[in-house]
Amino acid sequence: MEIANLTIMCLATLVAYNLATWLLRASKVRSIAHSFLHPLVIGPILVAGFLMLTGIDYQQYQVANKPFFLLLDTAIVALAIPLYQQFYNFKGLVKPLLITLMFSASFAIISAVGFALIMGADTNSLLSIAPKSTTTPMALRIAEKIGGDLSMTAGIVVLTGVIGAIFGPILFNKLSIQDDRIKGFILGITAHGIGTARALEISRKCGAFAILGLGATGALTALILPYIVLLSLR
Amino acid sequence: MMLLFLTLKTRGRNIPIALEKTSHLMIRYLYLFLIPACTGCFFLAQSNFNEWIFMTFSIFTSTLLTIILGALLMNKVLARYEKKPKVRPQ
Repeated sequence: MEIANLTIMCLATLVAYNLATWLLRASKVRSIAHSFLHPLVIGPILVAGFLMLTGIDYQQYQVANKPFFLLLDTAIVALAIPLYQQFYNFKGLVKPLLITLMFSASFAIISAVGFALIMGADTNSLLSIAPKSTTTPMALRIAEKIGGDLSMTAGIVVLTGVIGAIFGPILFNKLSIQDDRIKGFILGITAHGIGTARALEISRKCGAFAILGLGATGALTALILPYIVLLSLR
Repeated sequence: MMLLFLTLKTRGRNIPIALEKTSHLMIRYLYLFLIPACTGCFFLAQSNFNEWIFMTFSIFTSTLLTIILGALLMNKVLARYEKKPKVRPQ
């Protein structure tokens, strides 16, 4: 019984993924609608719908889908390969990349905390929202250190990634930015793993810059954020 | 990820085919692995709905603003930076 349940919940993920990719291919839409029909939008909606219909709570589903979380961690390690293959692209770009990284990574934190503060969120929420632009494992580690709510942080991080991955390409279009290096790096900085997956879809070069952005933002946030929080809470 | 990258960098040779194939496969199915994690954001609203709306709003605006400003900044910096070597005579 227990095993059957676990299998069904794992299968639900697989079915949702396949349905979502099929839907994307079947509906030959371009541009903006294309972004909203993304497997990362349709897939989770399907799974959420399934869970609500059957009355399974998310914790159970999460436990059943441990294999996918495990594979996700492994897949993040696999990102080193495209980074290595595209490394020659970064040569001589250290300065512009650093400037963009410093600005965007800090702006992401400051603006999110600032808006939350204006909206009247409490300290706990502020601490949970601060590491939003790093990958989930890193964000959880950071939130733990600075004392945020872990489950809240996980949700916020994912939400940030989904928003960035959906609206990022639309915004680049509106701003008429065609350089894959810019698209990738910004997607990696703001939308971490999910944005990187989206960037890899655009091109390999774009993906490599996203991976660089993801790693660098994570490291920068992990190094700096705890001290900022310590100072501001004093 | 960084460890694997550094290992490859220090080896300084081509990537073994097996490794490349595995990583390619992993990356192709990245979305599949992300779906369970993404589902989580639908179930957070249950805890404290009122606060959650504010949070979503601030995350939304901040993410969009960061993308716009970051992209514009990098566009500027990159354009200026890449123009420099051409201007400089030897």
